[in-house]
Amino acid sequence: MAGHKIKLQSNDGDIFDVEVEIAKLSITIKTMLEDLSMNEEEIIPLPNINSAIFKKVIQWTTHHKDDPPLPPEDDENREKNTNDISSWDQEFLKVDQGTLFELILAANYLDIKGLLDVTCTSVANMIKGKTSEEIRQTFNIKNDFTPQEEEQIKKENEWCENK
Amino acid sequence: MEHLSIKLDDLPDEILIIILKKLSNVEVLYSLIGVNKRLNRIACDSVFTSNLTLYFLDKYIHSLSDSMVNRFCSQILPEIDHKIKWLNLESKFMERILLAGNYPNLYGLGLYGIDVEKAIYLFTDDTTFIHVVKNQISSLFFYICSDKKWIPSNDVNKIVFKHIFNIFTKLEYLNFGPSLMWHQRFSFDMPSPNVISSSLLELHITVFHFNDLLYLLDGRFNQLRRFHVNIYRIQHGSSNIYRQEKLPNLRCFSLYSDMRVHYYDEFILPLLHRMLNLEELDLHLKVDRYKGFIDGNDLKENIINNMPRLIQFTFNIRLTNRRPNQTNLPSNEDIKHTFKDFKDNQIISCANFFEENQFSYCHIYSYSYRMKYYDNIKNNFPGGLFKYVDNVSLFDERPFEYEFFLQIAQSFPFMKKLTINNNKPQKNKLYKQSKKDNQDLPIIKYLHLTNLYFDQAHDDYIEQFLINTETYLPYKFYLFVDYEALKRVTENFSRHATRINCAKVHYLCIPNGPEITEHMKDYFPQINIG
Repeated sequence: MAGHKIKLQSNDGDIFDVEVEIAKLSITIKTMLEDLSMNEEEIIPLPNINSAIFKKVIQWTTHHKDDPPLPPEDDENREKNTNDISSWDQEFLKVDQGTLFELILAANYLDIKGLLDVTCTSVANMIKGKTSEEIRQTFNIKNDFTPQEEEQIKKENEWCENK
Repeated sequence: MEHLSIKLDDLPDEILIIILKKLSNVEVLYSLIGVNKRLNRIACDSVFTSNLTLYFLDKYIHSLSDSMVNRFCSQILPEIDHKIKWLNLESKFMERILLAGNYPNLYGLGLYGIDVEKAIYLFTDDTTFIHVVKNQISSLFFYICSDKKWIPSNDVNKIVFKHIFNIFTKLEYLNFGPSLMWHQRFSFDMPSPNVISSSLLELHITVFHFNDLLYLLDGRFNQLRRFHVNIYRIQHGSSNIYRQEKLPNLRCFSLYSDMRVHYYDEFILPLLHRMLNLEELDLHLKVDRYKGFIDGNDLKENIINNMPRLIQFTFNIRLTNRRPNQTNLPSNEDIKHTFKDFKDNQIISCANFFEENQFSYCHIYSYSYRMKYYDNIKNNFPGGLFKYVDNVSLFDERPFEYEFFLQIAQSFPFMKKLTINNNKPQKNKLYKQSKKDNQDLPIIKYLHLTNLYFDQAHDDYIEQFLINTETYLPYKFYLFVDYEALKRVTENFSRHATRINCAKVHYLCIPNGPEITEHMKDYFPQINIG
């Protein structure tokens, strides 16, 4: 029924009234409502998601609620296309890295394929074409190879180059 | 809001793998090898290393940059070469990459976009494959690209085909894509190469003549189990020069031909009768035949009853009969009835007689439909969902009405190319207009359409597609249309109702039309001229 709402609670206690049709874009919530016969009057807890991230999730699902189905993936000729993020999604994903990674975790927990796809594609684009040193700088990652291990790699490479 | 606590390296492995799967394996290895121990371990996982494609692909094959190849050859490949089971390579860096590692577990090679000269060099000079143990390669994809160099390269294809079996003596699987340039098409015309293999189990190949298929099945590949062949032309002149003994080892046969086959009964059926023990059969043919339709009874009598082990039979047969006996034409229901015993597959049939053009047409296919095209759809199209089809053509001698187009849009939700061939005016246009005014009829949406062709189409269809309140079309589509018809429908490029959809045209092709005027450019503001 259009406009019918359910209550969802983030892990910091905020309660959100969300239209059922929008909430059901999350397979996790859809399963709770349908398979587990949860009462729609009950407050459904979302222990893994804080209110700031959940607001972003609702914003995304509201915008994408009428999206047409995705074309089937052609296994034979599947190309890795990371360029097809819509302009609305690009704007939506202009957030700091921490928010982006929390959105990925939320999309994975809530089982929202479209949101998981677009957020992971966005991170993949940040990785694409960078050298290992650039990756460390971009994502603030510490190099934990010991000098001996690095030396060993260097030696192996020299051996390979001279082969 | 403090979110900096979560970093890329904090995400669990399964999420990192989802992210990295958005990239090609070559991008994952190039960026993550050597970052830190954890990312190094994930990048070296077999998910990203067992099957490695060392080029980029969009519509075309692009070589890696020099700096990427340097890093792969000096650092990455020596670290992971023992994990690589399958390598896909392109022409430019193929030899360098093959020489950069030992690849002890490599069993499959894909060599793509190889030009003709390189193909000759590769298989006549033995140095390239020295480093790879030739005996370990059991699977090979080999695609020669179509280049414009004038080399009498039917011979090239033959030479390469022969040398593949000389070099890779344990080959079990071969997918051979010869050059498709007309002067380089693959044929085993005399003198035929002397190729024999008792290890080959599966062969995928495109050939020119039906005779080439007979050559391949004359006993030289006596262990062949699975054979997929695409034939350019099945024509008269195909002779019996090759041995045509039974093929008891063949289990799976797939035959595709998109040119009209005039000799289905004379060539195709006798070939199938040699395949005694076939378990899977897949036929995609356009048949011209002067006797009756191919229906369920025909398939049973001529094919199925001769193959006692047949488990799976899929087909897509479009038959045209140009001298039909009108008094004896079976109805669509009659044909449907002949498939009632085909329990494993749903069979769809559509039969039509076209009085003006004096031919009958019958399309039978097993559902679900896996082809990318569906052509000559008539008013009696039975519906269904065709997720894989992106190319559709419509033809009839009776008008197409609104409901028909609505069905087409629903049945082919991912259609990219649509061709309309129908010169009959719509009958329900006025009715449609009154319903439209009452807003009862929804707009028909073609969400993925990029190419729209009007081929001898009545103005009514052009109008229906160009009026934005009747049809939704995406931005930037290609339009092929008769100039005079376009001028009439758009009221000399001034009609308000067609302006929005015309503004979405990115490429306009008006055969025999005049030069594009400034007036037209105003009406089609995005166009490139065709």
